[in-house]
Amino acid sequence: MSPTALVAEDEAPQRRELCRMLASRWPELRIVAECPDGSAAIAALHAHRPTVAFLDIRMAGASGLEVARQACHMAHVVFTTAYEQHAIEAFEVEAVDYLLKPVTVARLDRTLQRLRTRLSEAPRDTGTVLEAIRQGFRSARSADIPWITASLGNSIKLIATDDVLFFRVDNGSTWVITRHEKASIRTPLKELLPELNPDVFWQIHRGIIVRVSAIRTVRRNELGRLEVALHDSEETLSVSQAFQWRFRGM
Amino acid sequence: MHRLIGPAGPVFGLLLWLPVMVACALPVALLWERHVEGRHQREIAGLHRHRQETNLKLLVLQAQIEPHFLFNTLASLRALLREDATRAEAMVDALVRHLRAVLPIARTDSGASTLSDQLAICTSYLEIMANRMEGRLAYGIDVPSPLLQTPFSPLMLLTLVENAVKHGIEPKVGGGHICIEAERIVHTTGFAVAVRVIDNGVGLSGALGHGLGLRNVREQLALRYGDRATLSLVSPLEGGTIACIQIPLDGSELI
Repeated sequence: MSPTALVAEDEAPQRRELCRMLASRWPELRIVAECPDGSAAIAALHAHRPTVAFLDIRMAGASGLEVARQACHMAHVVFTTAYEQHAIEAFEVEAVDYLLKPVTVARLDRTLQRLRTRLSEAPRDTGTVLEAIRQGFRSARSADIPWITASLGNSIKLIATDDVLFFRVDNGSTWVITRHEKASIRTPLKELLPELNPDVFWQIHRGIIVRVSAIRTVRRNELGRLEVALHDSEETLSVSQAFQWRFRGM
Repeated sequence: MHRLIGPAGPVFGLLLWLPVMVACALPVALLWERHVEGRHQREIAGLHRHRQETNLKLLVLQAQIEPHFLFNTLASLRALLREDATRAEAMVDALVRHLRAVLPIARTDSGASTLSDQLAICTSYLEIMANRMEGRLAYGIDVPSPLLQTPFSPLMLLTLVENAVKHGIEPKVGGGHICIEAERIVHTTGFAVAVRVIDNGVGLSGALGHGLGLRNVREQLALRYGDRATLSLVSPLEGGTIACIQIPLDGSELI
């Protein structure tokens, strides 16, 4: 039985070119699905059960990595990418097949050669590699997030973290307060905290995170509790017992 | 080194000299005048230095060409060469225009950039992307002609357009469209121009990138206009994203 292939690539000219190259360099390979996005690729994967899947990493619907997870033990996967430094390093380490775009004939031949010798074997389980890559993407993104998505009326708005005076939990929702507006966010404070720069934002209460540079004065009120007054805001924020150590020696 | 000073530079200079002229009119003048003159020269020198530092900062903020964009464009070109030489040729031309506008070492503009220049840069980029995405991306530009000559800082608008493609349309199954619009706005403090990049893509609720490009736009606006310019990004309930840059129209950049 001749081997079959799925090609998933969201840019049509590139998709046609790869199919053309495959047809000329491996004529026995029958292309059973040409998919313009990740969701179509997942559907085609289950419908056709191809021998090989060529998957672009960045695609609408589902990324190539997500499609590959579904292809585990089902198809031999070859990733295609223009430039994903982080993924490429992982592919090299784990000896995962990949093609760099633009795909050259020489490189394609080498990859196809390897694939042919592997056809008799069961497809590899790429789960651990994919997990490592996803983790890498995540860590590249987190730490010191520059933007926060917040709800404002009926719309979603991007708020620059640089504009934020403080975050506060009120009536069960988390609010972000800037000089000009107040909007609610879905992320709970607990998840937000590790994403913020700890030198810039301090938690001063179970339900309050404040920008350090926005603090104008810290004083003890009539009840003996610490209170923080802010620049550019009328609000005073209370410091709970657990976080008073922050202001000791100031 | 690019000259980024706007037409407002000399006017600003004149304003600084105004107190000196007033001092000249006073009878006590001579010594006092020299004193003031010296101080103002030092101030002007200080401003000049500040402007140079700011220009350097701006240049760093503007340097941007993504390897991902470049390699994917070349990959599409490789395909089009075989299929449609005319289309391939048009794409090479658009890519060259784009690189000349974006690569810091290849830039030929003098820094006195207008909205019209920036729309041309965005058009080259959108032409390349529409060619690559073939039917998944449509675009339109709707800017009243009196606004075309508005001074407009380099590459900020392109960042918004790139974001609309990357985070709005590309992640959307089936694709979508992008429109660039501009209008003059009357504030109590004076006139402003608002330039909007509107897409019908997946909206802001989707995964964000690191937002570095947007951060650069914010910093550029702050360096040039202080707090008189704004950048906002909003996703309406019905989907898509509206990115808007608003700058004062009196042309008085800070540098």
